[in-house]
Amino acid sequence: MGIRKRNGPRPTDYISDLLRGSTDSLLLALVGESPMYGYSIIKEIEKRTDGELRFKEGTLYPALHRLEEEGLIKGEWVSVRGMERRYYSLTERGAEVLDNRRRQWQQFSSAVDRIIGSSPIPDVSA
Amino acid sequence: MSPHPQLDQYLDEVRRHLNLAPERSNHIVRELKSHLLERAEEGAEAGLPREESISRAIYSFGRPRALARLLYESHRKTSLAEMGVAALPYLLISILFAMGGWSSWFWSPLLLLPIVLVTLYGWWQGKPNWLYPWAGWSLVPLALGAYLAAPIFHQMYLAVAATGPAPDPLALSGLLLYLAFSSWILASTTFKVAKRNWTLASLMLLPIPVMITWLVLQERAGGLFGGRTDSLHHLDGTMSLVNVTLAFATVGFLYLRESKLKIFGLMAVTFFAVTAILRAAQTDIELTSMAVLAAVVSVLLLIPALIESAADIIETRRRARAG
Repeated sequence: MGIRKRNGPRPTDYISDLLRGSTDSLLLALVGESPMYGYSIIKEIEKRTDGELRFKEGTLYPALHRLEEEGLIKGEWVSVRGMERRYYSLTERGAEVLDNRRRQWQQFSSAVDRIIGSSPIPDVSA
Repeated sequence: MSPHPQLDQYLDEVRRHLNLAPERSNHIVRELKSHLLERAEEGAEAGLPREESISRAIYSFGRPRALARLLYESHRKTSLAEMGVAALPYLLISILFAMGGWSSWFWSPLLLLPIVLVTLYGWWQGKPNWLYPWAGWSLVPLALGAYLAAPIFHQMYLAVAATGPAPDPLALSGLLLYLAFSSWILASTTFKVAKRNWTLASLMLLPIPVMITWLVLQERAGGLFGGRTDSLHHLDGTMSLVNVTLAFATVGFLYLRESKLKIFGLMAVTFFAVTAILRAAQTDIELTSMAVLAAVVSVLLLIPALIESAADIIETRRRARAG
């Protein structure tokens, strides 16, 4: 019998892990809908997920800049009511990558759901 | 005076740690500033006091050093030409060893001078990534300064033991000044680079463990000042190959993105380089002891990581004190 860990990982840790792995796809999907700037991306994700998912700025900007360096998105400065914002939009290559990732995500989530989603919660109280 | 000194201070700190070309740093800081201002503005509109609103906006971005490091990783793209320039000092040193020219009073200074000049130029140009191997080779003579001073220390020892003449006081004070100066340059440069990016500081220190090993072995073979230079060239072929390997390691370092992989690569190469030099020297050291020695020497490359961690802890405490 092995040693049982009394305090397992918190549910938020698991969500953070999932979010970390999906950062690029989420960003590509959002800027693929319409050009967006950093702060609007954070607010949009919070709004659409009812606050379930939240991007930290410290994660967002390095990811946006990396995607831009890889040529998947492109940024452009726009002045809105005297406020400067850098709007990001999808490049042609980014659109191809997003399309590919979307198909893979659908296959993956449907496959995982067929196992996790339908399996009954075991009764371990006895 | 700026209307947002707290915000400017935070962004200045991010900029200082970005380690990118000034134009690119300005561009990044401009974007972060626009986000911070918009967020602070919304907080103020929601009824928060201005200062509180700015503090919260800054807090959401995290520690400036950590943010700068992640942004640096996103932007760091070293071209093939830059990788070539970074590897060049190792290739030049490799040729110097292959020619056996390191013991020449003509070839060594002839090579060292441009290395120092290129380092100063790179430092002045905003410290691009190719600079660090050059800086490392500029530091090698300083790191080996204590060894160059060995004959005078030996003379001092004999004088104290009253079996020899006292060393020249002028030479002695000059030597002590040189040692203090070289230690200060070495420590402050390592500290400065490690605070910006510890992996680059490790890249900078890469030639030092190898050269220390070489020098210790030379001492066992009679010493550089022993007057028998012919017997000191038996490691030249190995040192030439080792430097070619370090040139490739430098290119690999600049190509990789992951910090752990970079440092693991440098340490692995140092380990094998030191083992190769020890084996080539045909010492009576056993293979296991060689491996232990090589591992200990390789660990020297982790010193910048320790400096960076200490700086991080100090910064966290300072930020906590500042509220």
